[in-house]
Amino acid sequence: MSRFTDELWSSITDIFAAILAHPFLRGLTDGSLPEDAFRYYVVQDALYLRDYARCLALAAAKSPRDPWCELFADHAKIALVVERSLHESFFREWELSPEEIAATPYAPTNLAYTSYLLRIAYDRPFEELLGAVLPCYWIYWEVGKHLEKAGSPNPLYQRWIATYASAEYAAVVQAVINVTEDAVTDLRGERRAAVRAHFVTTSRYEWMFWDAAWRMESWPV
Amino acid sequence: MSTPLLDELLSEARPIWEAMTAHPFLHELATGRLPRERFDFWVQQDYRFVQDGLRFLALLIARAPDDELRYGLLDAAVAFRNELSIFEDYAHQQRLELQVEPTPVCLGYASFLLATAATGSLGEALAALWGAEKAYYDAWSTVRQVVGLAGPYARWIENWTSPQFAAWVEWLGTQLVRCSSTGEYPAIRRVFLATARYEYLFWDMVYTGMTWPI
Repeated sequence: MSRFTDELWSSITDIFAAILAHPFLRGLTDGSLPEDAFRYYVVQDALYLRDYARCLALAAAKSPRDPWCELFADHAKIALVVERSLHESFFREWELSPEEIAATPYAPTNLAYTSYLLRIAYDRPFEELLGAVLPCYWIYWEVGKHLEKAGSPNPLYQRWIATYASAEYAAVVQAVINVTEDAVTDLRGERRAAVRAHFVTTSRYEWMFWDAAWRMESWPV
Repeated sequence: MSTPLLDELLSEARPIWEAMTAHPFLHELATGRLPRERFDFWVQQDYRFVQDGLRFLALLIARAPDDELRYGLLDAAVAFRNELSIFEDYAHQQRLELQVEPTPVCLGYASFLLATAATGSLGEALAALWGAEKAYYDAWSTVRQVVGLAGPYARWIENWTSPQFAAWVEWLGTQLVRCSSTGEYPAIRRVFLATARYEYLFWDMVYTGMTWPI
């Protein structure tokens, strides 16, 4: 019998292919990505991570098993540590203060994506929350592996790529995949379908997030 | 009713508000030039939105600190349910499917409200609710100014421009002022602006048929 998480990944192969083919990601590896689009991306990502940490904290609170609670509490903290490290590694170079980052408005796609995560985290069962948060973990791992092979002539982009291609990051993602597999073991078809629906929706948001950065999306009014 | 907080919110959002009430969707609806399939698309998307709106309201009822707010919102929840039946009656007559996939703007807006109710302060959540209802009152009032209570959309126009609806919007404004503290005002302003932007985007989405890019 195939693993549920393998089925999850199969359900987004088209979306993942579109992510790899997106000009933002191609531009990271061939160096053609304009630096202001990259900067826009990293700033929005910092805002995203603060909400993602809150979702993971809610996942910890909802965990039916203590080791899972510990894992997500850990990851919630890691998300904020990563957010802070962006300040040290990128924002300082761009002379952007923490206050300026916090005062940056969420772009439309970012607000929609983080709101979606938070609403699922708050009022849906644990396994659905896993379906919603998993694409961010998993897609970045897969993207990191692909980008690492290609590398980037731009040292700034190369530094960013290295974060998500690390062995430590692989272990973090694998742990969450394993929790998801265990959490759905006894669940009926319709509850599994709900997990898959969130997984597909947030995978779409992942593509849209890159695309928003590429377009440097803003509010029309 | 006029208070500094509410006036400030509306004045900061004025350009968005003007773009919203001047949106061609509303103008064509009022003048009878809106293609039927555009209206039907709005019915489908707004139905999905109000379904989540009811859950948003339920979260606020659960969070209400006193009976005044709790029972006022509870009455509104019943009104929301009646509002859904306007959509259901119409869909039944037109053989229109209501359980459609929400577009990114519909899902984004509904998620924003639910996320605000989940993790924002009560003041922020009330600012979003007041903003959404005030926007509907103002948008449908501009339609009513043109066409009155005549034409195929009379029941919809009546629903969001009635004296009862006006009173509900005003009551919500007083609750927002009563239930928020000045320290929360910056966050309330952010929430209110995002709500106004989503209101504009919702009309624009149904007018242009904007859907998932992937």
